[in-house]
Amino acid sequence: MSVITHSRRKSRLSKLIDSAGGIAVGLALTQARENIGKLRDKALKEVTHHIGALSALKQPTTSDERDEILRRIYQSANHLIDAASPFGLSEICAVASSLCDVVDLASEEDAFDWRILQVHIQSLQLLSTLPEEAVEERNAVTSQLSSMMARKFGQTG
Amino acid sequence: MSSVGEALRESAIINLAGAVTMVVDDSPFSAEITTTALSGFGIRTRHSCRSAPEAMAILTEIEADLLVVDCEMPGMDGFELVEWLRRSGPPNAFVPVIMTAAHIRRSMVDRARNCGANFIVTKPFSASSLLERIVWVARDNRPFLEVGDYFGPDRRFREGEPPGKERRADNIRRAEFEAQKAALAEEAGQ
Repeated sequence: MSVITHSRRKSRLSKLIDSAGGIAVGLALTQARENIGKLRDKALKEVTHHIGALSALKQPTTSDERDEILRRIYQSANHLIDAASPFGLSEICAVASSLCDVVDLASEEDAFDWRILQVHIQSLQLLSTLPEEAVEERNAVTSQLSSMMARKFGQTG
Repeated sequence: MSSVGEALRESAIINLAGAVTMVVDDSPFSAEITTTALSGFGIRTRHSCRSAPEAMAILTEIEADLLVVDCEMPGMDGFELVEWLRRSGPPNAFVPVIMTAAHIRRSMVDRARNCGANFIVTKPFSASSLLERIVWVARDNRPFLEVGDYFGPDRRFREGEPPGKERRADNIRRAEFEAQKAALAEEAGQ
């Protein structure tokens, strides 16, 4: 197979980054973290919204419906990770990521066990209501889900 | 160039204020998180798009310096957008692209590798990982390759030194210079 190599010209970004002025990396990170921190309440509302969207989904009756529902589950789970991950909501991210894995596996198989989605939704609902200090309870939710995934698919969730 | 995963020095100075930056993400909140983080780095996001076609329309008219693109979008996804971009010719075919992903489907792993992005950042999202990647892509001097359907940065990373005796003339000269300097410093100290 032929390979055409384009020697790399310096990008404008590479010139800009070293140009006069600018800010220290430490300050840039502090500013960014402060800016993101201000969005925490909004992120929690997003998390609630997407858990609600998942809870509202009805079990599909046709294969077209099934594909569309799976797409929406995957999209909502992705958005959950988007909203929860910058704020250290790691258990929510873990459950959402597990849900993405389930949908990913389901798209390669004909059968989709709807109960698995229900367990994920219940886990998300529980995690969103448990206080941050309830570490043991939160861990119990994720570890039970993980065990269920291992039993079902032979993998940890 | 800083290597992959290398932490940034807190005292290092960066200037990204003039970078024409585009964020492409179907989730308005996720896009807001990204633009908010970028603004902390001194980058004002010029274009925030909710879909790949919207981004394409703008990219035909402007010269961008940095793109941050979400992988998973309804309709045309982020991978397709980057594939299009690399084949779009001047002025944006070589622009640094960072892709973000909450989750990558198993069937998409090859597409993620083959789309031509400079880097894919998987979430959890953090300001430091995003800034590390921006600095990394800014200093990314890999050549671009066209191999079959692939058009993008050379995907072969070279980590560490080549085996055997050093044969590169510039490295040999630098080593000799450093040795001379050390010897002179030692003499001066005695």
